[in-house]
Amino acid sequence: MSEDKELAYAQRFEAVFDYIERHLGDALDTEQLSRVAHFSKFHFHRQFSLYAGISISAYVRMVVAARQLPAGVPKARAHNGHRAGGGLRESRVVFARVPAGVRAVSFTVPQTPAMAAVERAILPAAQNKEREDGCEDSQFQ
Amino acid sequence: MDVKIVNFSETKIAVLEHRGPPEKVNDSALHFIEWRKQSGLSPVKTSRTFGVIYDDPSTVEPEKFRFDICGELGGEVSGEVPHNPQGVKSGTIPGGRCAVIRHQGPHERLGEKVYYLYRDWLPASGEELRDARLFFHYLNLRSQVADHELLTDIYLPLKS
Repeated sequence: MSEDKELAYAQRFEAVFDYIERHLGDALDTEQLSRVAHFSKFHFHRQFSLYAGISISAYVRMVVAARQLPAGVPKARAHNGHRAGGGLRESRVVFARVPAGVRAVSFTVPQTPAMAAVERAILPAAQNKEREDGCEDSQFQ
Repeated sequence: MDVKIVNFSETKIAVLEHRGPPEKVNDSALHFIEWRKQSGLSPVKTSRTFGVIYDDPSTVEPEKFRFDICGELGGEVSGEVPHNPQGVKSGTIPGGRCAVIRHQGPHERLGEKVYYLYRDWLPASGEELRDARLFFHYLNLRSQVADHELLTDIYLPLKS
């Protein structure tokens, strides 16, 4: 079933998120992370950014920033949800446990790596920003 | 969206390597067209036209963006592409299983289908990616049809 396959795919990224959290002080490279997920490094950057909705480097910065929150945030989880009516999924990173007094830290981030992602990570309000514009700017002739 | 699995045969190509901002791909394409006309080794009418993409233009720094503009080399071309002022070289698109999705419309919107392949189709398919670049096969070109009539097949290499 495709749901099982999607779950298996998600679990491979869960392993990457766990690995990043356990090695926040270390230099992380793509080859290492792609091995954790049993993915080829060839495509890993794109697979990661499309799954998590954020680039690897921005994700790492975000987790580091989230750790500065008063109560700490032990787990960041990406969530790929179908939007009603189908179409492209929205990718979002959801923090599983949030500090006291903060109702939700759930947001969708643009795919462009930016410090904006970190700013959103530490804002106590849910943010939603969608970005669906194309990217393969490969026009010629 | 209709995704097919096909076996793509290894293809010898002439390559012009574009390195730099995505918006300058068109400038590189002009050099490639010039080479095509001068050399006659990959005539646009009888040889397929490809684009091989290395980086996501929405996340890579513009200066580091890599894109190969490619034309199929006919069977009569043996050995390497002769030295030329445009810097076109010989290359190969590796053969193997690929997921293919057809895009109709402007090349600027190819990214939507690429995202769909990686983000939706791949996780649900259970397929694994092969160590080869995603590439485009341009079934027609801007010089031939209007933008909304452009047809492009997007190939995502898969493991056997």
